[in-house]
Amino acid sequence: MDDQNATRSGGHQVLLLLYALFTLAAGARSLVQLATQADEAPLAYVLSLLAAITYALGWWAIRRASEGYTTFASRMLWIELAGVLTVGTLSVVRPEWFSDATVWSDFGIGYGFVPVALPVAGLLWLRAQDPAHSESAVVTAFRVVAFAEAVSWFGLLIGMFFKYVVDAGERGVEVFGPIHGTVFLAYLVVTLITWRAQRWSLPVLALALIASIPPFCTVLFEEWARRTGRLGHRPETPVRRGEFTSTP
Amino acid sequence: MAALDQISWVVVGYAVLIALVAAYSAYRWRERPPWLDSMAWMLEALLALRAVAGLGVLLSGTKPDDYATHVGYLLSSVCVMPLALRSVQDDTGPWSLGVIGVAAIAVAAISVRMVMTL
Repeated sequence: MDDQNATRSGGHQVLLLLYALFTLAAGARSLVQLATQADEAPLAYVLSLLAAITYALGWWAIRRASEGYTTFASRMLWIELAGVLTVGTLSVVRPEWFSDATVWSDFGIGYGFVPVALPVAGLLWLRAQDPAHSESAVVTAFRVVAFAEAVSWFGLLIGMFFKYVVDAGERGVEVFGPIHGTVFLAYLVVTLITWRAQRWSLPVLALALIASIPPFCTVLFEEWARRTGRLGHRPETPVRRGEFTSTP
Repeated sequence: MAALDQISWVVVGYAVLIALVAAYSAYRWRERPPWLDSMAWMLEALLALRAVAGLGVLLSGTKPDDYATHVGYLLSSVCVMPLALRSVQDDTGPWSLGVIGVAAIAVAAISVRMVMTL
């Protein structure tokens, strides 16, 4: 292994710290719960322990990927994302299965939704490492967030259906409301970054921002922008990655 | 107890300040300034003070509602920043600012949880 590569500067350094923190947080939490109150919610505590193991493996996968071995990471990150989405969805639609919260309950609401953002960030980083994917990180981020915005709208609409039509409680709205709000804000930020990177005109920027208001229109806008060449290969910033100024 | 809470809130404010400075420097894509490391070690000194005072309170007989969780926060609070600084000790590039910023936010969150669990 090339140790110089393993310690080189890059986004993986932040990912490695986050994975280490979540391994510690989920591991300590689940072990304490299993040691002191395992009878109260065994499923939830075991799932938290599995989350901790997933984060430990994710840490190792990111480290390997930073050395050039990306196969394990490309599988591990998808497994992690599937786990977060599965446990998160089950905790919403079957809350009676969980006597206590897990790390991934409600898509990681107890940790500021970082658990659901972490594998997505890891996959974006991994994609940027692959020379076969020459699409810029900004364009990839815009596509992912535009899709996530539409998905969160879908979840919110389901929650509203159960609240107002079926009259089955507010649980869905309580969960998907903050998720949609978070993704909406992320979409606004990423849209502004993409506007600068892709040199959109102001009307196109306005269209992109307006698309965030009606359901699913972010995906329609993304498709339109891609077809009309507004999401392509353009210089992102005047400063290349790896270059930085040393004076304030 | 009140003094412990005060130290914890000072830690939270100082950690948020470090995170903001790191975020701004990363936004400008600058090299990590040496004084940011000094700020991070100052934060670590505050956390060590908080941990020693917290252990003193625990040894004097005060029992938090969730003892194991509180001790876990107490111990992890002093480990995060040295580990983060160690992981970027040979690298002053802009990404190392992200590491320091994330560590500062984590320390702030742990300090808030320490107040909540005492």
